[in-house]
Amino acid sequence: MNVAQQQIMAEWNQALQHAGAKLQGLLAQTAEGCRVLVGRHPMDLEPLVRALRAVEVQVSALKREGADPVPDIYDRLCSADPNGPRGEVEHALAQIRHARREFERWADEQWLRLESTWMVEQLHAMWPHVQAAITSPVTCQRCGAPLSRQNPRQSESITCHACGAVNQVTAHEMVESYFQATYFLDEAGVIDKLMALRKFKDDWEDMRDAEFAAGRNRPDEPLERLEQREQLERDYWSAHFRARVRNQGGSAEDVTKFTDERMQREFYGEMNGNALWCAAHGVPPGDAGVEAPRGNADPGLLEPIEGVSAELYGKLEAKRSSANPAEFVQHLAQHQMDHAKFDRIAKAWCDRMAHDPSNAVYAEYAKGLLSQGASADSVSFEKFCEIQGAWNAWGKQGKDAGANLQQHFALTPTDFSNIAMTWMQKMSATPTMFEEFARLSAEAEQKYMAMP
Amino acid sequence: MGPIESLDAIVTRHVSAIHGAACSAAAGGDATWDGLLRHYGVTPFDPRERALIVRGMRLSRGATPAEVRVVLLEVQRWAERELVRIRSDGAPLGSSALGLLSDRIAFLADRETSTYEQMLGLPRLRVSEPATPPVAAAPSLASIFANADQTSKQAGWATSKHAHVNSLTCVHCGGPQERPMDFMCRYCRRPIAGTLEPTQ
Repeated sequence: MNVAQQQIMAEWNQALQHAGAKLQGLLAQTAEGCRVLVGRHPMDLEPLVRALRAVEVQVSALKREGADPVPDIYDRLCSADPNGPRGEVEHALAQIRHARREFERWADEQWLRLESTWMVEQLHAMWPHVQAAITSPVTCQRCGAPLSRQNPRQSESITCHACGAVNQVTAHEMVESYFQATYFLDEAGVIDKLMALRKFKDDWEDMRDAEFAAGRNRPDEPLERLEQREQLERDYWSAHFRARVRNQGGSAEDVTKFTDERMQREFYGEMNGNALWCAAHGVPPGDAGVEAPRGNADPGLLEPIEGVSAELYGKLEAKRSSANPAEFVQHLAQHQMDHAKFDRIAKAWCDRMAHDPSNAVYAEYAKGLLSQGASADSVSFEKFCEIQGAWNAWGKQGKDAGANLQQHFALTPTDFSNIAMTWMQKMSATPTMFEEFARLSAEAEQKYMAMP
Repeated sequence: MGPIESLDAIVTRHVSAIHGAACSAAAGGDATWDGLLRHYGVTPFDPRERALIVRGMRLSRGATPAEVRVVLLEVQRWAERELVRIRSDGAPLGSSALGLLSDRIAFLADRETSTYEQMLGLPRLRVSEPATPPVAAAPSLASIFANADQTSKQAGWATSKHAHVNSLTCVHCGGPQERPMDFMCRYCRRPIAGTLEPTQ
């Protein structure tokens, strides 16, 4: 390479180092902020989660900066020596791609480990309070006699031995939020496996680039390596779902089922388009086997769960967000269910939604949700864009978006969800509205970001 | 698996399928590739235009990057709508993926087309990112943590020490519910909560 090209490369490396240093600084400050938050709110997970989500936006921006610290590097290298040997530029590009992959991997790992560390710290700080909440006595609402709980982590209907009244006892919100986040307790081991997988993939891409820079074709990944990758992916997903099941409930069969499902979507989905893999495994080549985004739902997914349809579940969720606990229990009784049943069907419907790429289950659920609360007709498109911008700003600022929504627009999150869904449907029919939506919501975001 | 992970997985599947089919196609495309285009509702390019691109880019195999990009744009548009829906619904607790997924989807077509070009061994690595609306300056970390700190006071349950306990009382006669999942009053034999709605 000539001097000008060497200078461009040095500039690129310096910019990458600079982005890395900025990211390290941001993470160090974040760790300090998290330490203070956990100390101040040992019983409350929400402040930490809000802060981490807001910081994550900045981490993503820094990652983008680090991934491409000097734009148009290829053009600049070529322009610096238009008639020079192409191989040297390709060699430099291979180095750049290698460094970029390494940076992205490093940044992701740093962030995941920081998030995991502080979530675990928070969970450790919460644990004595969670234990106290679990073991604290619960008494009959009617006569005050003590009630005996079987599973304090879940909602239960308990008949009072003294007066015979049925009491619906729901888990303390702190206990619920604690157990929802417990998968972080095993996250460190999962991150190790994820990063091993990422490195394995990146190493191959580095090798292909190096071959190309040497004037040869980029090779296809050999079968032996693909099989190693298959094993690494399986290890990662197994660890991921083992951690979930260990901390949030489930069986060994669930781990196998979820892992197989994920492998099907991720690895085998990709391999269906790989001629070498298809030939070795007897799969018809080019048979991608992937449904269209607008594909039809499996009809079984819409079957009612314990007699409750997805639409009714949507209505009940809408009610839950607007009613107090006593009103909600009364409302559930009108639908012949107690809180324990509601929790069961809610979990089951959420699971189905997560495993339905056609989104038909969500559409049914949304129908129920939309039938309750604020109507989109009462909110103009411009107002909707403003609310969306404000919502984004509050998220980036670490504010409680739900509380601010009430304060500024007199809406609940469910109301906003209804409004957003209705406008999204209209926007889908008129794609040009998306540009207007992006512009107006970005302007509103700026406006709300400027507010104290 | 939450909605963010689910969307990410679906997008990955589509991209893999498109890359796989495009790479396996003959130079400029073939019947299988045309089938995939129809699958995504994309009209194949005119054969003369395809031939022009094959010559211009010296393709020895694979569909034209321009057609691949059009298909990827379809996936991107769909994914953007899904993302807005997920955002408006609120991100799930502990999610670390929403920001990453947003970035991925925003530039999906350009980046994945570039990846496809690399898969074909084409030398250029160009990612042109479209102009985005003005973005507000990021808030300082101090203000983020101060804001998050204040939100704790807004959690109504933060000071509560007990689980919620509720018992049903008949709206007609005041009698208590005495058997779990029995919503007819034992005393007046009327619906304890006033009405009984069908559940389906």
